[in-house]
Amino acid sequence: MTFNSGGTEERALVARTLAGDDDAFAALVRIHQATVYNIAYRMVGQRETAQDLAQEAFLRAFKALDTFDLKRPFGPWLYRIATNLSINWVKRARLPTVSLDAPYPADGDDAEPLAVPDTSAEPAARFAQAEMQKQLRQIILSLPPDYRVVIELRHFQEMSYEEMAEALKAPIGTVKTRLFRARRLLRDRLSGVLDQ
Amino acid sequence: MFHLTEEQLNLYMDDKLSTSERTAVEAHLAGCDACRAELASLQALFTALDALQPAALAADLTPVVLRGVAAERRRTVRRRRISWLVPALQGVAVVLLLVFGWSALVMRYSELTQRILAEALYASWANTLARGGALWAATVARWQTWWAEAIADVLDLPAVLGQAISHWPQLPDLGLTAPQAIAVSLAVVLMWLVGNSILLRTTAVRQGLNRHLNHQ
Repeated sequence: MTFNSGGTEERALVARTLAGDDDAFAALVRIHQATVYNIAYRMVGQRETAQDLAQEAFLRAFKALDTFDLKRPFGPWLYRIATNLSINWVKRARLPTVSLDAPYPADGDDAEPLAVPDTSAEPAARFAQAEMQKQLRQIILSLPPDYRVVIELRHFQEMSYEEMAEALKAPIGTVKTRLFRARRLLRDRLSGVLDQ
Repeated sequence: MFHLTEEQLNLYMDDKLSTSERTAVEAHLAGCDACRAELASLQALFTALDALQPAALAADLTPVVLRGVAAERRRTVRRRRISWLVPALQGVAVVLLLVFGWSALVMRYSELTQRILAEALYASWANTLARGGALWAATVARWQTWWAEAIADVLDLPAVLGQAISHWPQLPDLGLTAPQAIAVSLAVVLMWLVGNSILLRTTAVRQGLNRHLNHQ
């Protein structure tokens, strides 16, 4: 997954927002909304909740915008807010760990639409691919929240160990241990799927 | 035969090994089927995660977010207004206290205080020694009376304030004319307001930053 890490243009949009220009913030929302939504969706597994969390992440970002360092990219800062909101929601909701036998998504929606529909393969292959994606999402959701978040940060937001430790306010050793255990759990649970 | 640890394999995949460590791991992998299988399993996981497609967002979030932004801007304006209202009310309270309370207390007790100080200051050492305990006892008694009256007055504050108002603008005990007293009071209130608002603003920024950091 690629992230729009922003640049001079986005920092200019932030500055304009701080000066009272709501259109500038609307532009930032349009640039990042898909990524923010996907962060929440991978973490909570429910589309409506993910949408609510994405909106809340933008509002939190807006409220904290005067503390944002204009020398740094906007995207990663926003994604950290979204990730923390999502992990807090998961922990607060104390959802039972998603069973691997349960249908996905957890909110009962059916087929999961992709941002970019895959038309490159044959229908059977596409179906198999979609099934694989569903099961992978389900397996990620079956992880404990602390393991889920390290997978999110490392594999989807491509953070370094140091960045993860800073984001989670945890020692690097703890972060690495969680990451390696999370991968072990994923591998164990994914082995049957990958063998198919 | 030893095998690579889970940590070594993960660090290898994350490209976090030194050159020598990496060379050693690769040398081991070349001759160990079990470790190669473990690595292949880890690589398959990485590939699967990389291939996970983003889900489509059902609706544009912009309108809802902008409504929230507009509401937040309105709240901010209200908070700014309120942040000035509180110190302003505090200022009014201070003016009332300074003008009426101070003048009331000074008028009521200045005579007694001056007499006690005069005795203490102007009595000679000899007289003081001679009068000794008597003076001390008298002083203590007077101060006791002073405190008793002060406490009684606090309990009867409206009457004291009424008396102060009836004497207004007589503030000779302060050595200030009424306009001077008002000017001094306003200066104190102004300093308090400015200092207070700076402190409040700094606290708010710090609290906002802490809130933000807590979300990180």
